[in-house]
Amino acid sequence: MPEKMDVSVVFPVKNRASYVRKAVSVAYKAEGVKEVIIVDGGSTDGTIREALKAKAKTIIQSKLVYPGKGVAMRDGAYYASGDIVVFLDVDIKNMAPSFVEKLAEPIMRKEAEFVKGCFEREAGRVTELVAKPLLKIFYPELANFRQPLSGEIAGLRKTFYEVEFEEGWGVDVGLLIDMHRLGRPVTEIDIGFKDHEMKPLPHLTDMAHQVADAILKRAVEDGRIDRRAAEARLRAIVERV
Amino acid sequence: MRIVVFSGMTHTGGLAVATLREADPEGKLIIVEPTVEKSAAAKKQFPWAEVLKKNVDEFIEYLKETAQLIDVFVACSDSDAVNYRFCKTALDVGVPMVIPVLNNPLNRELFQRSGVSIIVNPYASIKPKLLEALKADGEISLYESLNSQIVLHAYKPTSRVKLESPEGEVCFLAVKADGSTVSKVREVDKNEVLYVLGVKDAVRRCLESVRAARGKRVSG
Repeated sequence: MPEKMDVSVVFPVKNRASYVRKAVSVAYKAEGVKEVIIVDGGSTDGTIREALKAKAKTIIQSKLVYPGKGVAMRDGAYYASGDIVVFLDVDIKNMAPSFVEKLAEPIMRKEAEFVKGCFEREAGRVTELVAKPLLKIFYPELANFRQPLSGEIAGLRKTFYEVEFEEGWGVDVGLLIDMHRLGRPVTEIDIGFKDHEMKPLPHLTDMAHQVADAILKRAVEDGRIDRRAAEARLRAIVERV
Repeated sequence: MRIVVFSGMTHTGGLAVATLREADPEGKLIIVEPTVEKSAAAKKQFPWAEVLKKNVDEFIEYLKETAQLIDVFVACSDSDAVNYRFCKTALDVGVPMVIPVLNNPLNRELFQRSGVSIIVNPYASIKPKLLEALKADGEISLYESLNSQIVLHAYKPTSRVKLESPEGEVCFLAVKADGSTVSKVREVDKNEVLYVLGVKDAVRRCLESVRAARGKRVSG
């Protein structure tokens, strides 16, 4: 039997007024949920108003300028008081309580302390072209994760206090690597079909850069990149060009 | 002796710690910081303070256990979310004075709703300072006391205006075009700045009458 643990659901949002009420009310229906938290990145479309109507706890993320998803997730983890924190994207069209329950279950069963959600959907371009190849090279032990950039995450609240959150789009993969480095039991769970708008290509440039940065930074810290050899190789490439 | 507990070693936090020391040199200051690096740095930078390394949960327990000994709690981490939780706990356990320092000024309302009456907004001086320097004419709100009873406004007229104010409710000070200051002011001219200090409502009434008199040019 899974242990009874309180769950805090956190939605990092910006200008998602049309999604937020439904997402909050669905999250409240999931088993074990004690609070739903909206961390807003400076919305101008009434997102906070809608969140308050749905009885969510709301806070505006700590950075006024250049707010990022990672800052919002860190604030959400700090604001949360449940034993487990579940992060979800707010704009999932088929949002269901089962998303929360499936993510929290391995933690309640003591099988994991950090859970990534994967889903049936066309693979993301940054995932396939940036995250997975880099993980395969530098963190092959994490290369079997189907959706390493998934925003559907659950973790023991206390474990989030032990890691530094990347400020931007590198946060999801950064947390995965950091939990693995800390030796926390990490797993991936299929949460089913996710109906979610894919970002247009031009919006992915920053995301790809930040994801690559998060992985490479950790690979350097962990000595998985021979810095001098990499620099020599880069110089050779530049000379050839 | 005053015991101040201070959480979060940010840039703003460093300044706040130095200010707390200046405000009460004999008081005991306890700095709580969750990271090893920053708590070690705080020990070096502020050797007169007691530095504790505690994570969020540990610090909330600490606040609950020591609330009766704490006179002031200042929350100054780089996360408004954690500052909010700490302030809420400090209020709930009866710490007499709870002061958050905002990271994002948009969170002011959230803290106000929680019952915190003193909120430090480090960005609050940017607007009045810039307006005082750059605005060519009109009224500028320069300062509001923490309880908003006492205010200081500046007024830059576009032409000479006569001042009429009930005695005792507001104080006038004018800076003339040559940089000299005048305390007994009866009128103020273009290129001069009038500073009005007083109770909020009285200053508002006074400046309304000044604006109304703007069209009535003073002879001479």
